[in-house]
Amino acid sequence: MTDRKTARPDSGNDLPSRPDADNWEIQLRKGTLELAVLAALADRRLYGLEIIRRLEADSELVVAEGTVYPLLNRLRALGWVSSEWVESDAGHPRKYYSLTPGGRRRAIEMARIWARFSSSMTQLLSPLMKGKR
Amino acid sequence: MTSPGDAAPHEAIDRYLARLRGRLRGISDAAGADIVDEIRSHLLDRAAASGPLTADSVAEAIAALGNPEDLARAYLDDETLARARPGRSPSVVGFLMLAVSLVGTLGAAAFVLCALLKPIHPDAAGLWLLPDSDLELSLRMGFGTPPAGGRELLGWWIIPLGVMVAIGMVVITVRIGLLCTRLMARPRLRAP
Repeated sequence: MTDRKTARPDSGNDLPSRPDADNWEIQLRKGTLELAVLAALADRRLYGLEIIRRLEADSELVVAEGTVYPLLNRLRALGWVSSEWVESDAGHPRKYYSLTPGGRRRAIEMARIWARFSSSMTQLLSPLMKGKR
Repeated sequence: MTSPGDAAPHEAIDRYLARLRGRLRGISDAAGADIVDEIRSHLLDRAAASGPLTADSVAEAIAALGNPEDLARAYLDDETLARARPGRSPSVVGFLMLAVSLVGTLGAAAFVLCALLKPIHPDAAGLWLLPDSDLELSLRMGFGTPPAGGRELLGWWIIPLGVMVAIGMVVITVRIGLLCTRLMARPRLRAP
């Protein structure tokens, strides 16, 4: 179903080489992960590992696997996702997550905020990007 | 696919999960078991993704997940975050609290003021029963003139009774205020 990726240079456990810049990046990824997980569940229910693979394949988010499960636990406590155990061919059950109606509304709201934020940042950053090329 | 003959990979997973469960303090048994089951399922899938379950593939899956202490801490941090969001609309409880404390303190102040002014304006301060109806009461604090034809109910008793009623109202108001504060602070109930 999903191909395997072993290269994981930035799993979050390595000591940062440039502490300030890397800490900023970690915080940025963390804040984005919530929306990314909700978005990954927009079409259909997925189990944890599928969500991780989906984020790695569809975005350049390199996900520290250990952050996804606690996040899913919190999203469920907030009522934005629901979960159910489903038996699998692998011989053990898997826990599937789906968006609740409230979670979908929340994700749409977050996506709008993100789009606004991202376009104004792109505008603000354009002088920096020009200098780089 | 799991190979039932080789127990070592499963033992490594069990050791990892035992350390994880040990660090999930303050999380209920049901929720803790659910977390452990999910991580077990993840490790089995992650390790078996490329072939049979071996000690190496399990070790790699565990390394990718990070050490169990950090994982447990992430669960506990996210738990705290989820709790920080109020489960009940604070504005409704807050409005109720404001209304109750306004009525309670203003009412208590009126009774105290009435009791204080009785010695100064004995004819105009007190509790009056209005003449037109049977049950209409008027608390007068000594300003203006008492209602014509009205009957004063308490006389000098307004002083001790007024003070007692005022204390009672303050006590009840504070009790309700504390209850409202607790309601606003209570975390949202979560599904297991």
